[in-house]
Amino acid sequence: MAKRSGLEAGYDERQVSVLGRAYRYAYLTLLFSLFFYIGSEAIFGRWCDAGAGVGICICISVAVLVVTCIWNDAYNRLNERPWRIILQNIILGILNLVLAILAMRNGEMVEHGILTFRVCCLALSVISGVIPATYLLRWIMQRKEQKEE
Amino acid sequence: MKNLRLKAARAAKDLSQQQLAERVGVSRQTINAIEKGDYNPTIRLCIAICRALGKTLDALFWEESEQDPME
Repeated sequence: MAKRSGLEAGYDERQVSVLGRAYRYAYLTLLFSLFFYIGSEAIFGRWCDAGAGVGICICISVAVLVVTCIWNDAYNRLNERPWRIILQNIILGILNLVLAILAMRNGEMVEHGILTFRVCCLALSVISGVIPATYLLRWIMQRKEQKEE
Repeated sequence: MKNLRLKAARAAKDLSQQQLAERVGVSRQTINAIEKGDYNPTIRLCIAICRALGKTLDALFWEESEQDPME
């Protein structure tokens, strides 16, 4: 079999197709969320600093990418176990949640009525929670499928 | 459309989806998606599956229609 390189390395043809679709969804989500963020600032005035606004938009689009890939079994390479990724995300989620709570307690999350960049820690902890949850749901679905097989 | 012929050929060889997937170098979910008709494989993967199951492309993937231009 010909040696594959780049994105295809370790993924089969269906997974590469799903990855392409997931990137498209993530790109469109980023565009729409940025459009929504800019529009909301134009209508309601400044409610968060630029770093927070763009950071949240990026977090949303990354969440779309990752959830689409996990749900269609295209996030892990062939024969790659998801446990390492789940563990990494649980640790990252807890660390970011602690940082977010500290920022809230110190009053750094909202300054002069405007959300600061610190809100990205909260957004990242939410994403880090969504990833293991998606894996869990997918695992339950796959068990059902295997029983039907 | 479900590919029942592929499922039957796999069962006849006493292979699980996982075993067939390992033989052709794809994930189990890909074989599952092909059997359920959720994914159309490339000709390259079709040939690999046919070789693994000892069948022809016609036997596993050719869909007979009422007005078949080949007839």
